[in-house]
Amino acid sequence: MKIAFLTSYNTDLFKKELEKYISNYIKNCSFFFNAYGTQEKIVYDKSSSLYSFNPNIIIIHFEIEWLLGDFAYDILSLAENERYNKLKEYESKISLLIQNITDKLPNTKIIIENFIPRDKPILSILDSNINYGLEEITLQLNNFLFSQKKIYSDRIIIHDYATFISNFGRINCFDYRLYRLAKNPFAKSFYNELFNHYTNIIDALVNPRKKCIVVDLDNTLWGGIVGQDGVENIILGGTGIGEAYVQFQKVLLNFYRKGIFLGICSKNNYEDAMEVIEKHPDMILRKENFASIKINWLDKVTNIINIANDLNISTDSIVFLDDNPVECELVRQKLPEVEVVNLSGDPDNYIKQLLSIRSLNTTFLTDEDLVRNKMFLANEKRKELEQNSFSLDDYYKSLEMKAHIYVNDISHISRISQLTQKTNQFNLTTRRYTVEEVKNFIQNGEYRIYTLRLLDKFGDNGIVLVAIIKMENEMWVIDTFLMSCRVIGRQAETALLEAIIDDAQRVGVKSIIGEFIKTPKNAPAENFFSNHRFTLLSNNKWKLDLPAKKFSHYIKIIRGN
Amino acid sequence: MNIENELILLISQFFQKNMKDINLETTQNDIEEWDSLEHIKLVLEIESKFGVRFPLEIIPKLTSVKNIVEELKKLKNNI
Repeated sequence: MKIAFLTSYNTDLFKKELEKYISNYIKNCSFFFNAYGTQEKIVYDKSSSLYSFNPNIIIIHFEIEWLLGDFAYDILSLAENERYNKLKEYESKISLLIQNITDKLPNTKIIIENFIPRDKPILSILDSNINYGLEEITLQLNNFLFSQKKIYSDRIIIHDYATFISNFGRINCFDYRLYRLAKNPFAKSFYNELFNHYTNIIDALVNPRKKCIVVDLDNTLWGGIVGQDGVENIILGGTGIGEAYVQFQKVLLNFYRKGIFLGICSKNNYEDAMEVIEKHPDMILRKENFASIKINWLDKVTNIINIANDLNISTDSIVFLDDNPVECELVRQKLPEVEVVNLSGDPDNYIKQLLSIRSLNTTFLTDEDLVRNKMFLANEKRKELEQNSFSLDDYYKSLEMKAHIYVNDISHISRISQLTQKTNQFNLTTRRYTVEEVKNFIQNGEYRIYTLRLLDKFGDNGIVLVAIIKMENEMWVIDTFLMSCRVIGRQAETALLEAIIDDAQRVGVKSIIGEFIKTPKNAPAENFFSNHRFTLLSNNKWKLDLPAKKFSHYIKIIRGN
Repeated sequence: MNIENELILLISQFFQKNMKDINLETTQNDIEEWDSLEHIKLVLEIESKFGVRFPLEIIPKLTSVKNIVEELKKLKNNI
């Protein structure tokens, strides 16, 4: 992972420590820092060391004081209309910088730290009450960054440095002695927080995200123990700590809305706990918000494993929250891959703990994220149907499945990238691709990217299959073939393969070549080739000669919308 | 341990030198690695270790072990 920092301040004082800090969380990093004062020149110089470094990620951290120069400390040197013109000048400067970087680093994720002055404005109260004072110019430039983000969509990411600094307080973050002597404004006591701030955003772009938050109930979602105190005596709602529990639930609801599964793992009598969840007037989270509920007297390790199985995810994508240190320790020991958070203090502190979990941070939302939890509920209904169906064929027929298959659809790019990043189980090659790489495949001309959207009588599952095919003269090579775990066992892989074969035959391709790269997690995809009449060549390479016989399945295939 | 010895230990560890090679007479000129950047890092280390904060105008003058000891003692006496 090549990471570049482009900063207006001098990083020399701490860059070694920063590199070390980031490397604790991000594997195989190499770093680039601009020499102090060269941050602008380096962007405009086509042959600069920044461009030859060609980073995967660049963090642009320009301080407002650098952008404004002397004007930052002498706002009244210019008349109001001149200040407005200056603002427009800064906006063009920023957009020119961004444009140059996006053009010259087409495959790089660009992170821009927004602006906040280091000090309270020199003009004090007056600053906010004249037009285009320092604070207003700062806010306008931050708004301008938002407008840039809209233009460049997924190419640039805004990182909220201003809120981060406000959280700690400007007076705590900076040490002017270091700025005067070494052009590094940050206090030594603040280094670690700053490193953490940078690491958060890199981690969100590079490392896998958690998929599920599993919570305890008593003294976690509400105060007190329902089994002992009774439903009417638990602490939830009203003011004081009861309000804080409600707020904690609201924060969890936000995760539900962005597509994170919620699960319950609680030692309780099922009926007692469900009475609170279903009937207590102040509960925010209800039964339908939880994708998996384990309320029983089994140990929590077993329950967490069962939750993972219910959700078809692996335990390493689970975050477990519990106020009981003994339970937490047990889970930590038996399931070290689970991220365990021992909630402590009051529920307002729980919120802080929950929001500081790095692996739950995301930088974008897909359409699928927004409906994942609703779709999951529909899936539960499908399972019920499966259990009631006479045979598997009856079950498939009764689902009334339709597959919309698309080729090189630009609007699917971020979903395609997301699926390559997140899919571990039904994934033949487990190749991870960034949005930029997917875009390149589509523009390249030698690749066809197939996406499949699966619908059935319970609803729309969204884009759940991706295949990336490299077209060579008489043969098509499957670079990637993957399926989201929520539709495994529905024959959708057969439908997609059939569409690929149809297309290949139409242009006279003689064979399709595939590859299975074994990982600790992709056993569900292991028999894909043999089940579809491919023959083994060698080294896990498989071949299907065309024309091929039709496969049987119960999915109606529709090309495009 | 007195301030002198504690400081000498810190400086020797900071520059990865033998403690015997550092004494009260040692100055910035005697240690090759002691450049202007390392100087500030060293001062910040000393501040954390001794729980003091040197005024801006003093930091560039802390160029010998003896100077640092004197300034440390001044700050310590003020507490």
